Amino acid sequence: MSQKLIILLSLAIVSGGCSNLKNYPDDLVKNIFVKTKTDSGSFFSSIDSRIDIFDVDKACKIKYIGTVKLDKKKKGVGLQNNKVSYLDFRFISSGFLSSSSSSTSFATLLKARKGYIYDVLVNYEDDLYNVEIWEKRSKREKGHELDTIPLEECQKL
Amino acid sequence: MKVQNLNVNVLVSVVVIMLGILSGCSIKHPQNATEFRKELPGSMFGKKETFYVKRNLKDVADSFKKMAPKCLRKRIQTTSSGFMHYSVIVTDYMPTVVLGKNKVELHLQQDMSGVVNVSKKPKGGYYMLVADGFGEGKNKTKIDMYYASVGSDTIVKAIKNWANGGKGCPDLTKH
Repeated sequence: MSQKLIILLSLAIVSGGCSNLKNYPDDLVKNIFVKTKTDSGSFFSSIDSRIDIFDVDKACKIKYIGTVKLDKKKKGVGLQNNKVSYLDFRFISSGFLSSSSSSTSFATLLKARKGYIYDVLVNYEDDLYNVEIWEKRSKREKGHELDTIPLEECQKL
Repeated sequence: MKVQNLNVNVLVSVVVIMLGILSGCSIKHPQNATEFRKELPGSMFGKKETFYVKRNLKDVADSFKKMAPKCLRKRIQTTSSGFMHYSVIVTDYMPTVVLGKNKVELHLQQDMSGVVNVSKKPKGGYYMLVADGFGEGKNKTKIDMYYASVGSDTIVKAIKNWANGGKGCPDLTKH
């Protein structure tokens, strides 16, 4: 095996091993629809966004299930109905000309209800971010915005 | 919340500490919002700014009550590494909204672990910003903001945005 190939394989292994992220399963009926808009405000930096999704048990302990990478396309996600999930929206900014990066996040609990769909608006612009979750019965309806529920308040759900 | 290779929180911390040192030539920090308002404008990096918004006080107060806990009750971890050094600083931000007669106050404190506190730290952390809203008629509110002129840009922008009815949380890794 050539030296070049060994280096490439090593890099692939390291790159793969550096991240513990896995794709969120795509096997449930989609009830969450995420619309994302990001703008780093600079030509020399970029913003990546994603949702890390966790199951929440009765003792309010969370277990990582998977990640949905967000981009300009509207993303459909299937959450189990009548079960509490923990959604961690993460914004990662990185510079093209430097090795530095930073991440900030916004997290909330969500109990998806049967018969409802959820529009999620994710926005990061000019160092300000906003996440809104709107619950509604049909796509035509405007619905109502849900309050943020921190993990500490999980017993209320 | 985790931040890698970024030192902005450390910068803000240094400025907040310097404010205390330079304002009185002794290491003493404001222990409450009243002391913060009084001592900040005279210090080297302190700034007081006044502006008006075309909204009534109740609406401004409602925005502060909704957005402050949502956006500012956060824990930020800063990791810094370089030649022969590695440091981790965890900063807890604590916002408080106080409603008074024809007045709303938004206080923001920060509490850092992993650093040495050079003066008595108030419960909840050192004060880094105070915003006072005063009702001035049916559709007008005056806002007085007190903050460090270095390292507060994003938070100040967000609070001005809320006062005007906007949404958006400040990315606390950016200042």
